[in-house]
Amino acid sequence: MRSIARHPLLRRLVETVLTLFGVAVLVFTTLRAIPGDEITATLGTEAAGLSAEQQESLRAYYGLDKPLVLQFFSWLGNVLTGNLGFSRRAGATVGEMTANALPVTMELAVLATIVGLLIGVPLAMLSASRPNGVRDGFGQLVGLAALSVPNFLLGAALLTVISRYAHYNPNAQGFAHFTQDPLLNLQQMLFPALILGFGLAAPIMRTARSALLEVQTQDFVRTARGKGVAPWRLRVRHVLHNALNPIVTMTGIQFGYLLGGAVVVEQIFSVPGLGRQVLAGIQQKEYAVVQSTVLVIATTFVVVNLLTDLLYRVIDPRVRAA
Amino acid sequence: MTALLELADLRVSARSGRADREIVHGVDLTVEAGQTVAVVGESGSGKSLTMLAVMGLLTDPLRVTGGTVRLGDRDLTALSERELRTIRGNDAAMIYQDPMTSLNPLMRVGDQVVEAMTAHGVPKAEAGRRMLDLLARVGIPDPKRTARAYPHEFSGGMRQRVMIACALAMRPRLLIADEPTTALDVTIQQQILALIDELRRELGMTTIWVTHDLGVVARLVDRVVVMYAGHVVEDAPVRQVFSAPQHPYTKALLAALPDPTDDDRPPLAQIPGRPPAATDSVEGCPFRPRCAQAVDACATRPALQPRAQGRAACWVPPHEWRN
Ligand SMILES: Nc1ncnc2c1ncn2[C@@H]1O[C@H](COP(=O)(O)OP(=O)(O)OP(=O)(O)O)[C@@H](O)[C@H]1O
Ligand code: SF4
Ligand SMILES: [Mg+2]
Repeated sequence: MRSIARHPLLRRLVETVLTLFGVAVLVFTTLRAIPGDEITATLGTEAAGLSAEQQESLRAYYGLDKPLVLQFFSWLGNVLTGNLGFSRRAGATVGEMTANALPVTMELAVLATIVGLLIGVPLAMLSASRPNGVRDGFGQLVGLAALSVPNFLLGAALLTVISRYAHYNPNAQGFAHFTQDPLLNLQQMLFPALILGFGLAAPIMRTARSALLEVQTQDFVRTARGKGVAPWRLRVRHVLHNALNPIVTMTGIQFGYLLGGAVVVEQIFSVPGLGRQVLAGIQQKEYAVVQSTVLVIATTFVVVNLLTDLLYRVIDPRVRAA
Repeated sequence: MTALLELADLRVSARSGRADREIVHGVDLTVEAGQTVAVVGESGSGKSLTMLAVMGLLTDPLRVTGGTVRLGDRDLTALSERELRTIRGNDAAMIYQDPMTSLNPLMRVGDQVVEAMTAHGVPKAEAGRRMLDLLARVGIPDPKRTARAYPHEFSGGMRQRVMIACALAMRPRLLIADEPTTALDVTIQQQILALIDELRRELGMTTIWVTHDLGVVARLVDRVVVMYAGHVVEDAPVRQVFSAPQHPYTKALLAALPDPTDDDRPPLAQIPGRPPAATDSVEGCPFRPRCAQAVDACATRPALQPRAQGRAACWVPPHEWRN
């Protein structure tokens, strides 16, 4: 009998827990390495005028007087019991804030990924159909452009142009959750999703292009051509299908990156996602907010990775068999 | 008899940079309807490229740079990709060398056979029924269940059977079998050869066997075409090839055939020297560097000339050969 400790699922679980613990330690220490704390962030320069006793009592109030190790484990213990902490700035628990922000971030990430795939994959197929031809040059150029234009620039430019000349700026009004006003929500998500998706299209297109080029040279593609299979079917059913694994991997990585990395675009378009929650937490030195939110992001990332692995199994019967 | 397939001065080149390197140097070959022909030659002599050129399956950097391929009354080299598609798998089909890589790993084997028919307009339901019959015919047990399997669940021999089912699905007039057994176990080889030969008779297909081992197909063919370094050097009825080869290379090939009484003698190992890379442009006769019969005249390339009951490209007739 195989030892249960070697079971791949168990190993995966242990790896996951260790990763998340590492993230927790990292974010905890990094935060404390930034000068200032919640007292200085709240009081500003006035904090310098406080007497020693006042400072002491405030530190005790914010829980900053305890040793770091104790602070760490008391936070971690709270997290494990479902208490992610409290934000004095927002007057809400981090749990409540996350329950609002996580769906927004997920929605944005999913929409952006769809946009990225819709641009990246067809462009890659166009490029790969005539390597080094005119189409390929065009595809690569778009890819390069998407990679080189920073999305804050693109976002600001798009927002300015559309709101000034088309007098259309759905993001000027308060943010509407999808469950409240789906139509307004989708309009508000449109530009951020387009911009993030455009940035995503570049790495997806590059990965897809090289995967497609590789698959195209394989024997079974020649077999299919030898049967007289039509070109579109050849490209989708035989070539693209066999190139999916690297595309899924790259998309998964980019999706994970969007979970916390969409800060700038969320900020420009006033989208209340996790990125903004972390940013506000950092500005306010609300340690628990930052730590817990980052941990939520990391956990989501892990879940996305697991789903990616499941997707491999759906795509490839050889993985299922292994 | 009428010619089903006629290659005239067929040339295949590989583009490298700006220049073209010619690999197949003007092949002339006629196959009569119903005939079975072996194309023989050492590895790298251009057999596969010639056959892929017939099917219009060459891909960058390879392409046809001269000559014609006539199938029935059509010149395939003049057809568009779209028109070629109606011929591939329908009028002419090919079985490839490596069954391990020739099937799509992500597609059920049944679907891959069905596809060979739906590509030519057979309705899906009918194709599905015919697929089950085909799988049974090529010797795959329990077709209903195995049709749903993926290639990785099959052995090499079973995969090659699936490839055969794909190739025969539309009952092509021309079948090209490009070393269909080299990648298989010896015991399986005979079964696959026998199966293809059986189906060939049954469907009355004109068949080209590509091989580097003349002994393997000797019993199966009417005629043998010998290729060397991208040239046809001899083309003759199978009996004559074995009894009275008209080209020194053919003779060397025969001498190198494994002797059933001597297992240690490896095939082809006895021809001294190595074949030129097919792209080397040799002055004169391409076989000259390895030829025991070479004379001064061989500095000029010999053309394929009528010789006995076939054709050979050699300046020196057999009765003048030393030993
Ligand atoms: N894509 C390619 N680019 C450049 N040269 C190639 C390419 N494919 C094949 N060749 C060359 O063409 C020559 C003939 O190849 P071909 O596959 O027709 O040989 P073959 O007679 O079928 O040999 P084998 O018995 O090994 O299958 C080889 O020497 C090879 O180097
Ligand atoms: S032409 Fe000369 S070199 Fe070529 S095969 Fe004949 S004898 Fe040999
Ligand atoms: Mg070959």
